[in-house]
Amino acid sequence: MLLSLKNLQFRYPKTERAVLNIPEFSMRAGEKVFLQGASGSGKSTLLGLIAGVLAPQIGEIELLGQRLDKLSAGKRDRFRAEHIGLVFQLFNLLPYFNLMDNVLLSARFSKRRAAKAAEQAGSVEKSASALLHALGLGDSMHRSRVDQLSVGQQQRVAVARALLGSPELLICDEPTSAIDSNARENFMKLVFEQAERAGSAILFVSHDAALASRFDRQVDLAHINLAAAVQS
Amino acid sequence: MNLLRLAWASVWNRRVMALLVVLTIALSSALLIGVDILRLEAKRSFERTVSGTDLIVGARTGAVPLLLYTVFHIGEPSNNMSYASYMEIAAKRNVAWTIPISLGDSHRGYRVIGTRSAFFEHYKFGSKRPLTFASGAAFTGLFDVVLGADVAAKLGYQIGSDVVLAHGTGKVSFAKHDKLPFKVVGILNRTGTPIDRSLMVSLEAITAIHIGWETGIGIGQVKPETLAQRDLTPTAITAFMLGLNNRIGTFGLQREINQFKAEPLMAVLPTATLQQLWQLVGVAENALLIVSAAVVFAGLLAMLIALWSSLEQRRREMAILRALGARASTVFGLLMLESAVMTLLGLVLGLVLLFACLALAGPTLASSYGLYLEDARLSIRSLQLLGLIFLASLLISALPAFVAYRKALSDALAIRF
Repeated sequence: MLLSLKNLQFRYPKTERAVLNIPEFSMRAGEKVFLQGASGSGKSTLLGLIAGVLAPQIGEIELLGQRLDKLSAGKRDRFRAEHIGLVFQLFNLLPYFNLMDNVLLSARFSKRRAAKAAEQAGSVEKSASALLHALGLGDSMHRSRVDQLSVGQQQRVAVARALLGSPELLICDEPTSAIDSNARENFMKLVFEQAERAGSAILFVSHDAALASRFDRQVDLAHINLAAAVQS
Repeated sequence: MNLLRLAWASVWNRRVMALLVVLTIALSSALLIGVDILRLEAKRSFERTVSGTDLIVGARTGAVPLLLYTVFHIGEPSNNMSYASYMEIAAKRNVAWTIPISLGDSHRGYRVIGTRSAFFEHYKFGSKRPLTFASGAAFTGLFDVVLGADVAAKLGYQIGSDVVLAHGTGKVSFAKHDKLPFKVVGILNRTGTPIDRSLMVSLEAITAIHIGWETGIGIGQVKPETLAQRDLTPTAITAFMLGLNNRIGTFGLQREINQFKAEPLMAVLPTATLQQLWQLVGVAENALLIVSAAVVFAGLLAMLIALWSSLEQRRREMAILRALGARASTVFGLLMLESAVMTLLGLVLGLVLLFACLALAGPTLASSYGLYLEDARLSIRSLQLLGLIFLASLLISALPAFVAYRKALSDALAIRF
């Protein structure tokens, strides 16, 4: 099992009600899961917990055999750097770095992923370059500023960064919502191809049900989260 | 991750704001260090002026005023002492040499010192350096004058030039000793002391030009040819410096002079009196230092404001770094590093500005205020002040950095904009 949540409960400090109350949720290695949920249903909170930015008050989070809920904040940060790639809805890139430097950031924060990337292509830079190529971003662009890119291109750079060094889990938080529908198909295809090559599982959060059919499994957060029922 | 590279890239990305912060820190720290350097240089400049003189003797007045008007040409002497008393003290056994000084006249704003040729032999400045002539030699004749380096340079005088002295010490004078012009016979090398801005003539010359001036205005000035018959021995001088054969006798002689029977006199030790002066000036100095420290504080506040206002627009940047696995403490460190970089740049730029200003203002300070910045450099204390500014800046930026740290801890990853 890649990821397993048990009796997970979370509420934000100084608030009364739990945002999440998930008795059980799990993912297998390499599995592609589509997580659907209305806005405000606690999707972001769940991703924060899985990524180890937040810690639950009650319950277990196990990722790659490691109990995240038992690790210190610093160790969870380290664990995230080593094993998880993240893509947000928008603004994933540091505006003052070029494409290449943005992608290389993953390797700078994780020695393990830097070593893996170097092993795959000869060097970290070659690995980053290969990923950018595969995602349709040619050599000529690698040194250009990221604010000259279209939103779709920026999202592909973010995917390249998230997949550099083949992390076990790729978490995407509505990455397509700012991409127009024509480009969306292509984007999804590229993400799937590269995640498969890297052997990464995908946890894909979106409210766009049209995308769901590609995935191994669809999960509606409202079904697994008992707190949501109370909330709405 | 090389945090410094990240910090630098981020600062560079906001370079206009960063430049303003750096400038603010540069200007305020330059002001503080400048005040500190000027303070030390003023002291050094004063201390350089008297060297090797054991006692300064004059009519009874305050120790500080006596020192100020005899050596530094600041203020006016209130009373003269009699020439007879001077001769009596100068003849004492332990006295090695004396330099009489008679003040009260000027030439186009520069003071005239009536003295003896002993002046050129025994006057020492800096680390006991003697006076040297750039050209010519000491005065020998009645109407010979020796010029300080600045006087010669500013007024364009050479050996042989005619100089007319004026009564009183104003810059513009209507009472001139114009019947008795002087000839330049010597020009001294620069000393970095008030000597550079003085004219030296013999005591007899002072007496000569004042014949007929007893009432204060020049009625019945004598002609040069009639002077030969007159006795030009002065009746009074302003003060004199003296050196001893054996310095152990300094306090004994000082006591003796202070209890002098014939007239009320006083003798002061130059270094001890300078210390008194520094205590007086210290109050003003501290006030200046406090004001410039306040300016530095205002500069640091400007940095605080800049950092604080950048926090909100940088939440995205922080969220990206957190997603990549940066710890909350890394976010803290990043902001601290950023302000450290800006402060360091500010301090370096401040020093560059300061020394450029000192180099530019040096000549004006010397000619207008008698402040000679011979070798202005960073003192240990200036370095301590710089270190203090740096520490204060880190302390101040810890505030926004801590806020960013708390946000990094509590924000979930999904930052939607």
